[in-house]
Amino acid sequence: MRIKITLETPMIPFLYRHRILSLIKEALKKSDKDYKDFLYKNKITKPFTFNLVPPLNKEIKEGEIQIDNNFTVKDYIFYSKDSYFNLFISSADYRFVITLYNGLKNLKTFDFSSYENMLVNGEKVILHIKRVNVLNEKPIRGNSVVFKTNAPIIVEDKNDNPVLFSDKNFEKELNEITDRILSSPHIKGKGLEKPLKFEPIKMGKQVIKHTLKSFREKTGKPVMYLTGNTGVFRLSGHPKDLELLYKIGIGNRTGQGFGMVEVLE
Amino acid sequence: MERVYLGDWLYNAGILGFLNINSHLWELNTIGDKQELKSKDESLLKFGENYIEFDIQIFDGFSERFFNYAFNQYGRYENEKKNFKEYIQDLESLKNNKILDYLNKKYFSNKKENAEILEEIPIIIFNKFEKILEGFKLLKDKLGSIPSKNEIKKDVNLLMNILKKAIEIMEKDKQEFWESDVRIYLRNIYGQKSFLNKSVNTNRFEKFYKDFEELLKEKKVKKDKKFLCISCMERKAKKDTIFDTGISKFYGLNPDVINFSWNFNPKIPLCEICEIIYFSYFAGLTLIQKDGKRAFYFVNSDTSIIDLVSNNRLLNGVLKPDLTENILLNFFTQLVLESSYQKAYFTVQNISVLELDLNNEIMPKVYSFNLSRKKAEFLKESKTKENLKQLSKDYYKINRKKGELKIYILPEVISLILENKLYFNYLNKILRMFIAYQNGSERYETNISPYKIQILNLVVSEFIKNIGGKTMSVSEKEIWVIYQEGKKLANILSEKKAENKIKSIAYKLLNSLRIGNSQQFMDILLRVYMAYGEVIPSSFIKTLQNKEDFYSIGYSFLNGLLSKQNKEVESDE
Repeated sequence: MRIKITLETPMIPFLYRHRILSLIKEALKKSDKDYKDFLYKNKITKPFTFNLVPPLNKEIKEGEIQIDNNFTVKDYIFYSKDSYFNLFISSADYRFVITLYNGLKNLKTFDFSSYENMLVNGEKVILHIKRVNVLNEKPIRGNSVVFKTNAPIIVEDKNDNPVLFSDKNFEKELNEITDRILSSPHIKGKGLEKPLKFEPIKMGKQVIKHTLKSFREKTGKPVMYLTGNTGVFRLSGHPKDLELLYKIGIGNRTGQGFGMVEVLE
Repeated sequence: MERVYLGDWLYNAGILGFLNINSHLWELNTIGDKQELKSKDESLLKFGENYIEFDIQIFDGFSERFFNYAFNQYGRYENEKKNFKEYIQDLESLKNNKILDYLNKKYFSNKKENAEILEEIPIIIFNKFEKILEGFKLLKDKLGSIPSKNEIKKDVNLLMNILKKAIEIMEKDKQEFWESDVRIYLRNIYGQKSFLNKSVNTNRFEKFYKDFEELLKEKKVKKDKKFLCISCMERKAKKDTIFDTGISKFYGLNPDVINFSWNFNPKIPLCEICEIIYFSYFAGLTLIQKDGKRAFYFVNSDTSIIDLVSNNRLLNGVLKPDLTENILLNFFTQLVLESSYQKAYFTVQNISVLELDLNNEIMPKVYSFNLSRKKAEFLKESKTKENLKQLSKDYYKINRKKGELKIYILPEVISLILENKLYFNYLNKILRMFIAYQNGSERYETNISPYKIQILNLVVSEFIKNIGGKTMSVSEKEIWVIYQEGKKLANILSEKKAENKIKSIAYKLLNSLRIGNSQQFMDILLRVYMAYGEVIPSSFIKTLQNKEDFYSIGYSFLNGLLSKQNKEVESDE
C-alpha cells in the first residue's frame, strides 16, 4: 500500500532522511509502542520505504545546517512557495500502515528540528501533518516490469562498499540482498522464488549525503556519502517477488528512505 | 408368559410400538428425577430391565387397538373433516359479509379488496377441496358427481352443500374410512402384508383379526418342525414365514431381493411373537411433517426398556408440541431448533436417533443422526442455542415475483451444521441478498437485519472454531468491538453527508470477503478511513494474520456498517 502524506512547512533541507525516520518512529510509538519496539529494537528489515518529494515550484538554496551540537554543515535546502511537501510511503504491511497512520493522526505536528539538532540557518523547522491519502498501486502480474527509481537504490557488498549498476557483480549482489530480505519472517518468510534479472534502461549514478546519529558518533564525521543508482530499469523475476519489492523498496537501507520505485510499464 | 428382549433398532421400535398400542396397560411416572414404568395389570404385562413380558391374552382386542393407533397416527380423517368444517364456516362468513378482514388475512395476506375476496374465496376453497378428493378416492367415489367451477361461481351454496355432504358421508361410513385409511397408511410402511395385500378389498379388519389376533390368542399358530425363530432364538418358528410378512420392506431380506437368499427361498424362520413385534414398529415411531413431507423419528435407546420408552416420549414431546399452549413456539423453526437440541442430547449419550423417510415408494431411507460428540455438544451448548434462537423468525425469499421460494434461515443453518458445511460463504450469501433487497431488488426479499447476520457470524465463527478445527484468535468481544466500529464509521459517513457511500463501500467489502482477499479489504477500508481523516481501529491488524479471523472480523465490520441501513431497533443487543 502506498500513501501520500502532505506536510506543511516552508522548507526542508536535503539532509532529511534521518529526521523523516524519526517522524515515522514517533508516529509508530504514539499508536503502538510494542510494534515500534519490534521494528526498531531488533535489527530487522523494515517492511517499508519512503521518499520525500518537493513541489514543482521549489527553490533550492544553500544554507547552514546545524546537524547537532557537534556538527554544522553547509548544504542545500528546498524551499516551497506554498509551504508543502509530499512524503510518500510504501509498505507491504498493513499493520505498519495502520499504526503509522493512527500515530500521525495523533501527532499532528512534528519537530523536524529540535534545540540543537537540524536547525536550518538557526531556524527550527516544524512539520504540520495535513493530510494522508491512499494512492493506487499498479498491479504486477508478469515476470518482468520496468521500474523508475523514486529514491536511489543502494546496493552494498559484504564490506559495505557500494556496488553500481554498471558493476558486473551488481545483479549477483542484488540477488543476495533481496533473497536475505525476503527470507525475513515478517517480510515473506521465504527467499526469492527465482533469481532476479536486472537490465538498466536509462540508469545513472547519484551520490547522496546522509547522516545517522550512530554514524556520527562512530566516525566523528557529520555526513556519509552514499553512492546510489537512479533511473529506469527492467527487473525480471517471479511476479510475487516483484510485487513485494515494489512495496518495500529495492536494495539496502530501504527503511532509511532508499530504493523506492514506481512501475512504468 | 412370553418374553421379548431388546434387540436391533427395528425390533426395539416394535417393542415400543407394541407398548404404545397397548398403552392402556401401563403408565410412565416421574418420581423425583427418575422415571418409572408401571404395569396396571401384571397378569397381562410386566416390565423387566431389558425385556417385557406378557400373557397371550394381551392380544384380546389387539386388532382394534392396532387399527385405532394407525388411524390416529395417520390423522387424515379428522384433519380433512376439520378442514371441510372450516371451509363451510368461511363460506358462511362470506355470505353474511362478516369478518372479511379475517378472511383477507387468512387467504390473501391482506392484499385484496372486499369485492375480490367475495369472488375469489369460493374458487380457492373449491380448488383445495378438489385437491383433497384427488388423494381421497373413497370419499370421491362416495360423493359421486360434484359441481363444476362455473357452477360454484354462480352459486356458492352448491359448494357448501357438497362440503356438508362430504362430512355427512365421512361420519356415516366412519368404519369404512377407518379400515381404508389404515390400509393406505400402513401399506406405505409395510408393503402388502396380510390385509394390506391389494387383493383384499373388503373386510380388511377381519382379515387382520384372523391372521394375527385370533391365531395368537387362541394359540392356533402352526409351528415349523425344525427351526427356531432367528430373532428370539427361543420360540419355535411359525410355519412358512416369509420375511415380508414379518419385517419391513426396507429392513433386510424380502421377496423382492430373493436372489440374496439361499436357493432363492425367502422363507426364513420367525416366530409369531417376534413377527407381531416387528409388525408394530410403526407405532414406535414419532411422525412429524417435515418440509411438507412425513418423516418418522425413533430414538434407539437400547440399554433398558424404561430408557427406550422415556427417551422416545421426550423426543415425541419436542416434536409434537401443542402449539396453542406454548407461546414460545410461534414458529416452526423453533421446533426444528428444539428437536436438534434433543437429538444432540441423545447423541452425547451415545443413543442413536433415526430418521426414516417412508415416502419413498421403492426403498425408504433410514438416516441416522450420526452427530459427532463434538457437534452434539456444540448444538447443545446454551450460547449456541441462544444465538440460534434469535434467528428463528428470519427468512429470505428468492424470485418473489414468480415462485416465491421462502426459506427460513434457522433450519438451513442447522442442516449446514449437521452436514459440516456451515462456513462464512453462507454469511456472504445472506448479506448479498440483504444488500440487494435494500437496493430495491425484486428478486430477493429478506427480513433479516445486520444485527442478526452478526449473530449468525458468531455462530459460524464458533462452529468452525469448535468443529471445523480451525484456529482463530479473535474473541467474541473483539468481534463485537469491530461491529461497533462498523456502526461508528456508518455514523461518521452519515454525519458527513456521505450516507450514500455506505452501500458501495459495503458492496466492495463484501466482494473482497467473498474471494477472501484481505489485502483488498484493507485497502478499501484504509482509503475510507483516511479519506475522512478517522483513526483506523487497530483490531483490523488481526485480519491479516489468519483467514478465519479475517472473515470473522470482516463480516462483523460489514454488519456494523450496514446496521444503519436497517430500521430495526436493536433492542435485544
